[in-house]
Amino acid sequence: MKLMLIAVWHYRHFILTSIRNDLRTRFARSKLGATWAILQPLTQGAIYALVLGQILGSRLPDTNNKYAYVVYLLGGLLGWTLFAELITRCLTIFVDNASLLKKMVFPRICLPLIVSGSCLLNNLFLLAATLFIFMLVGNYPTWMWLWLPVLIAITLLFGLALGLILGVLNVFVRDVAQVTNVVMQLWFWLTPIVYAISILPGHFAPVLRLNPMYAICSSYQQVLLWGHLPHLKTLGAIVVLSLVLLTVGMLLFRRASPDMVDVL
Amino acid sequence: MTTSAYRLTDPISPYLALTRHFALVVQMARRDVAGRYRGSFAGLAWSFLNPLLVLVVYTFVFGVIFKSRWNAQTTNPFQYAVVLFAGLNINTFFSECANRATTLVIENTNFVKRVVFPLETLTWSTLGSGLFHLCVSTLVLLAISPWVMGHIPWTVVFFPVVVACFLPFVAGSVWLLASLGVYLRDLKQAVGIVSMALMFLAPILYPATLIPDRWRFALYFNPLTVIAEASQDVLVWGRLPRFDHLAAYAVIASLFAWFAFAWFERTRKGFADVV
Repeated sequence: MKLMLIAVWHYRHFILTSIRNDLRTRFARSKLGATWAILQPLTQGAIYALVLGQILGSRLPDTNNKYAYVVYLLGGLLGWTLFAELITRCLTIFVDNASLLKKMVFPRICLPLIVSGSCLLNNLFLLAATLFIFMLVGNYPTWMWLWLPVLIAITLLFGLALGLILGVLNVFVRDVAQVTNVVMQLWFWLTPIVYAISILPGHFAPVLRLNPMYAICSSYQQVLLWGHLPHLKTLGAIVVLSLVLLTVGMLLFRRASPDMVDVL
Repeated sequence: MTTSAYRLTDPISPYLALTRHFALVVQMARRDVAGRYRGSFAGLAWSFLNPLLVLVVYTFVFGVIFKSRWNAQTTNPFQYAVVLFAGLNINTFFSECANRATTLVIENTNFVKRVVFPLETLTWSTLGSGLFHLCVSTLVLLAISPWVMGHIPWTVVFFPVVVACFLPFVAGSVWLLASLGVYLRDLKQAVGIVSMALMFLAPILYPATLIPDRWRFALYFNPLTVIAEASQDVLVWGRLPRFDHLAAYAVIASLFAWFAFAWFERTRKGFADVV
């Protein structure tokens, strides 16, 4: 473990340049560049607001803001987008970089770090755009918004931990990618992002509260829309869970690392 | 200057691209279907499992949790999911093909640069592989119909007609996007967003009657609306499709395919310089 950290430290410039290159290629290759990272979730938000806002929006409790549903939606999407991007990119991280892994000698643990860095950067762009929209609709900052960096860090940790496990498994069993794609669709709908948990029939709500993404997304919504404290206890539990998952992921990764190149 | 191998003034030229190279198209489509799940243990079974899992997810989420109903009278929790699935398959078919189209030429650089290859047939093989998945999804839908709706409606026999009306539109989109995709590299992201928008702005998740009368006509500017409604009619409700709508759609779609094919053939000589 310590050796790994030292290796990562030695390769810190490699990691940083890779993140920068990732961003730069996206700017260079396409006309709109990294704006796509923002446009995609924002249009998603706009469409949901248009189609579902009428049906679900009126049932948001305790607000008198006309645009409450938009804020609720974008707040939840902010957390979900980061998580989903991490999972989908970590899932194929080793498979996609097969040629790099075969040809170059470098600590493989750099790859997940590069992906996390570039996902985080994308999410910060989205955050800036979202906060700008919040200003436009009259949802002004409160001190509670200072919790955002903490929430982002927890989302990043959880997504990375789960993504690493899935990424390693996917090298050996490619079916993992197929299952994950379906599970992510299910997971999105089982997280109260486009709807409030109060609209669900009674016996589903307690089950849904066990969903870690529920705690994360609703903390974003609590902080951004209602100006309340996030669910600190649950978030603490998620941090512990993420650390356990990360340990499992690292152990798996250490075990699998020597065999990986042969399978790819 | 290379001229096209087709008489572009001829409105059936897009289909000649299929008939002339039929064996090649089938071969390429088959390779594409087999290649998608290569390396996984379940292999080809995924083309069947995937739509089944998606159907299960939508049944559970919309039927059981949200208790969405297509019309107020029914108490059947699975009906909504079946109706949704019938429309969703149409959207999946389109978005899969459109998404592939944006990188179709770039991914096949060898065919552009090194050999004499009928590039225009790539469109038909993309459609072929999409059609295979559409067929599998439709079979999954029909397999569960007896439980949900009590029977398989006889109007299923018209489903190929509905798909046939849709094909020129999809083919045209693929030619147009494949050509534009060579020059505009961020087309893929744009297509992803547009196809998501098309799905939500078509009567796939909700019946058209939910939209106020005054605005309902706007739905028909969405190229998925007519086809999605027709496939819900024939696959779920056991109604005849609106043949007047389908006929009008087929005419417009054919004109579009003709234009898109001519556009592709005109622009293809520039591909080799860009890729």
